[in-house]
Amino acid sequence: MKKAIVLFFSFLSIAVWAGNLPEHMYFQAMNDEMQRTQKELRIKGSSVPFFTVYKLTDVFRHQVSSSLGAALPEEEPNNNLSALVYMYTGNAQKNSSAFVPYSESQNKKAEFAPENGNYIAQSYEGLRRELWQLTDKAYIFASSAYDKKEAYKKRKGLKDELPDFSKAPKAAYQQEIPAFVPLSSDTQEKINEISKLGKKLPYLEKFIVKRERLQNRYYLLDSEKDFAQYFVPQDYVHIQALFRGKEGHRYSLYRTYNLPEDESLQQAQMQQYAEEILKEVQAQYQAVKMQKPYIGPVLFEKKAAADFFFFLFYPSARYSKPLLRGDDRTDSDAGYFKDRVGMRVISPLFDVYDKPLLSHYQGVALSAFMPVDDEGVAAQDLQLVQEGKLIALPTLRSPLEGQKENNGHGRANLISMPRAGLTNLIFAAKEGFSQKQMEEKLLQRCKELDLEYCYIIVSSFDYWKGEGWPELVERIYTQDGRKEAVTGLELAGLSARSLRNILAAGDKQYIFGDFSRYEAYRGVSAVSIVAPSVLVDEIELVPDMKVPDTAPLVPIP
Amino acid sequence: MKKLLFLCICFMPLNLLAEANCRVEEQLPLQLMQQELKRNFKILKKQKPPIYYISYTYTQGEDIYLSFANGGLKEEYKKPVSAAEVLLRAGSSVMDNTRSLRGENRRNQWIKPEEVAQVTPDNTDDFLHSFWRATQQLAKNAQEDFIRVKTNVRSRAENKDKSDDFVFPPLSYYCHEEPLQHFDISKIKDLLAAASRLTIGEETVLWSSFNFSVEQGHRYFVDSVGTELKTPYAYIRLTYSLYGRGQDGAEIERFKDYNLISQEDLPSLEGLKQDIAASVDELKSLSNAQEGESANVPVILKGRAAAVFVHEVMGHRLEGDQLKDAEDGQTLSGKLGQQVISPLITITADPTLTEFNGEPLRGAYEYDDEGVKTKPVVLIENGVLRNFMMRSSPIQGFPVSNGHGRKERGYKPAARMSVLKATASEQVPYEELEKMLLTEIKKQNKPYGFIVEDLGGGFTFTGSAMPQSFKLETKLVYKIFPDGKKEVVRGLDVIGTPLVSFNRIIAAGNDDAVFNGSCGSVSGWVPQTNISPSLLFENMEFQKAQKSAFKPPVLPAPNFKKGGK
Repeated sequence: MKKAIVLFFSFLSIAVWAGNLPEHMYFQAMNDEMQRTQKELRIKGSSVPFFTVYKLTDVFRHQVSSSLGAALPEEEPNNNLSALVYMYTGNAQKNSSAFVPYSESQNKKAEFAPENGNYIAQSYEGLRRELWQLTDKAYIFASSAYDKKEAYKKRKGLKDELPDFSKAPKAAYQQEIPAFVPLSSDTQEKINEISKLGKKLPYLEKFIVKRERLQNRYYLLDSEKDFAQYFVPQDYVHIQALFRGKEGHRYSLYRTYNLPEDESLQQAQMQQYAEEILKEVQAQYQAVKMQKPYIGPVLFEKKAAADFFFFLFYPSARYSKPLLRGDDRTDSDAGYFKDRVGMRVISPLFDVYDKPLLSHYQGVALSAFMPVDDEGVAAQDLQLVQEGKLIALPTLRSPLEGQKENNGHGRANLISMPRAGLTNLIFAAKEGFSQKQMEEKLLQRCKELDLEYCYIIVSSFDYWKGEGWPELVERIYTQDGRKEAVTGLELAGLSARSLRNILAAGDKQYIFGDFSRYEAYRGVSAVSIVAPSVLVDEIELVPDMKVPDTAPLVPIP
Repeated sequence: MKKLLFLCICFMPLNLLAEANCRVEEQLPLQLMQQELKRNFKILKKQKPPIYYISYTYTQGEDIYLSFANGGLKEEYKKPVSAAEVLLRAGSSVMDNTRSLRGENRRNQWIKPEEVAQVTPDNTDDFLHSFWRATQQLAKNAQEDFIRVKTNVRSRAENKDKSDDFVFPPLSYYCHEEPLQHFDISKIKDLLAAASRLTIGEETVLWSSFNFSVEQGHRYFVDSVGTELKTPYAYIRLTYSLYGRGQDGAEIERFKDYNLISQEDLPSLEGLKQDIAASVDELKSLSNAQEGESANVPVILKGRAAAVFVHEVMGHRLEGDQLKDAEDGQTLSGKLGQQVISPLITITADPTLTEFNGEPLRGAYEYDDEGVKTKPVVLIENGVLRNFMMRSSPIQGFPVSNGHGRKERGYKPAARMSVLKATASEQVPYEELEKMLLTEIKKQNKPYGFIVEDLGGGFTFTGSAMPQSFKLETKLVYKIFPDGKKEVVRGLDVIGTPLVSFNRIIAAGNDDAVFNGSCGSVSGWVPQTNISPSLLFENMEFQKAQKSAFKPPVLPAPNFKKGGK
């Protein structure tokens, strides 16, 4: 049987691991304020600043939209400079990190959030003043957390088995950042062509195609003089189709796709994506309502497979070290795999990698490229899983029992100070099958289980606490392979255990880099998933309770 | 149920020529909207229950925003505005889906109607589809709501006010367009950058923001009565805000706005320098000021502060919608023709007033958001209640709209203020008013009185479940002693109840001042103007304001004068 070949392209544009701080106004302001902070910021009787990080994110964005063949009003390119500031007080052995102080939520911020500023004035003085005030707040939080952490440890009789902080080799990374190039003037015309495809379906109420170009620039400096300057370009197309199915259900299919950086390939790619969505619309329009529950094998295709890994593997493998909580609650965000190194956590078909140093994959820029982590440590590519067995976890400055080396996976975001996070997750199957073969394997399994039909999750699904809501599902009949679209159902009882039930994988790797959209409300830093379609045994689907609306009172114009 | 009505400070208006200069039949958006409205209304009016009224609004324009601090650009955008909105009514004008439900949670008070952003008439298919989609969705919601209303009416106590739920707006055709103004953005950026550098070395200024904003464009309105309107809007404004913090955690702030007709009206850098220096001085005074104590003493509310007071404490109670609902406090219900406040004071609402003493008025407009032409309305005349600000929702004794149905884009209209003007039948020079204050302090044997220079936000309760009280946050207050000595105090709120407070006005200055702002209430944020002379009150109650738990930063601000460190 042929082996799937996985190609990793890792080109870091023009970048150097340099010794000197980049000559950029942002670094000058960060360095000046950092030095003052480390030297002078003190409250009598409180622990002193031990480790401070400044991370600036400068986002440039331009988007152009079209619906049903004609332009929608266009916004000019825009830019936002934001900052994260976090600090540990104390010393290497004992400091304020990895502790959620009780009652801090009264300060109207998330319990473990760094200080952050948005739309910062882009002048030396403006940045200094912003950093000055954010650092002050970070210090008040950290010094208070330090005292409360020590009091908590004393109350619980906790001993310091491991130090709170590990030194790391100096990280100094400087990537040359090109000027942001807004979308070209012919983009509007190009996406008009794509959105015009929606006119083929008379029942389509809206068919919006939006091109979005982003350039995220990152500037990081810590008090150990580690620094990084790098950028992540992102080219997306968002496609939204609004329509009403035959049975009256309203649908809004929304897809985001990463486009290759090579502009000559983008138009054909967008056209392909639009046609795929239109096929989904046609199928959904005809879909029948699910009537009875199902337990059996399910084929998760493309984005549905990436979602499957994102919702089940990603939260299990990150946050390997639970936080102490002053309110005695357990850290419910801590990864399920935290104490499972050496155990089988996923089907033996898979090796799993987390590759922060991978900037592109098959010509597509990955959103989670991170040469230096958010604690100023040089990030390392990491193999998490070998033949289904967990062999390593992401770590950060705060050492992990049994895995003390720091592999540079400290990640912070708007609602969390650095925790051991994941970046570009690659799910590599030992053996891959074509789409046709995958369907044959699904049918074969159906027959083994004496099922009349099985299901294919064709497109993405949303997920919360074991339940999933797929957008498009197909029923495939065992006897003749006939397919029909099915609507009105939910995935039930999903858990990390389902990862061990993967029976087969596709031979094509799909790239999805839009998982950063969850950052705002689920505390997820940018994550890319590269994964094949997967056939999973013992998945439960149940009819949902939604009642469709009656038909419109007035026919569509 | 309690209702909170907030006044806040924001943006500004326009060059309203108030004369038709285009033809409705040549306006593509109006033609498309009317075409789709007619197509829908023809079918929907025959449904059970019928949709008996529909209006479509389309707003097309642009928003420009620039923000600077410490010499650097914070934020810049230029966004097209292109939004479609649909409102409709199910049932009949006597009773429809919009009626409040007695004893049940009110529905849709704060819920936006269907708003379809980013549509353009140049994309005809998409434009028509957007209105159609919204109409279908809202028609079914309205029918369901109407059934809830009927059930509620059958099973609950009767409303005292038996007025109809709706009066059809008169048929209007009007087309007025203004070219969108062009702005030299780079010149404005230079001005803001230079102005924002002026506070860099100021220890008292913890945070600052220097902003320029433009909202300009046209509103298109059609309804099932046949009305077709196109009217312009333009709010152009430069503002700055300076914030600091006292050692006790008290947050202190100075704010200034310049409301413009065009870019030519921008203040010069020299002018800004003077104003900013004065604001910084005020901030320093506030930073060093003593915290005020609770007191009930004679007080002058100076012009802008008085304008806010009139708006917040009396203005909201003169909005017709505040008397419609049995759950409202209805402070002025049944008082028509009666003396309700000091006989010194007359209050009018006049959306046709476009400028005052050379300052453009943000609260002016030609037609309201229900398509009704505006006109001046005398609300209180020499203390006697004469009228209310009305929209197309009658109340007892006031069966028609006087053009005060207003809303933020995406909300349902409510009766709201426009340009609210308080005048006094007798006015004295301001210096005289201060002398009268000193006399009053001595007469009442009080140790001091207050002069309130500036009020910030505030709120007033208008629901019957809560006391009919108000609380207004002071931004700059002087304590004045019987010998005329003044000192700044901070950390005080003005509190009270409307009828008592307004009857304590004993004199007014001749120094009418304009407060341009935006008010947030049931129909969202709407631009408004309040004009008032300084007012002397026999007494007014002050209480300590809430303070932040945080101290100023531990380290002093970076000192850029010493080599950038």
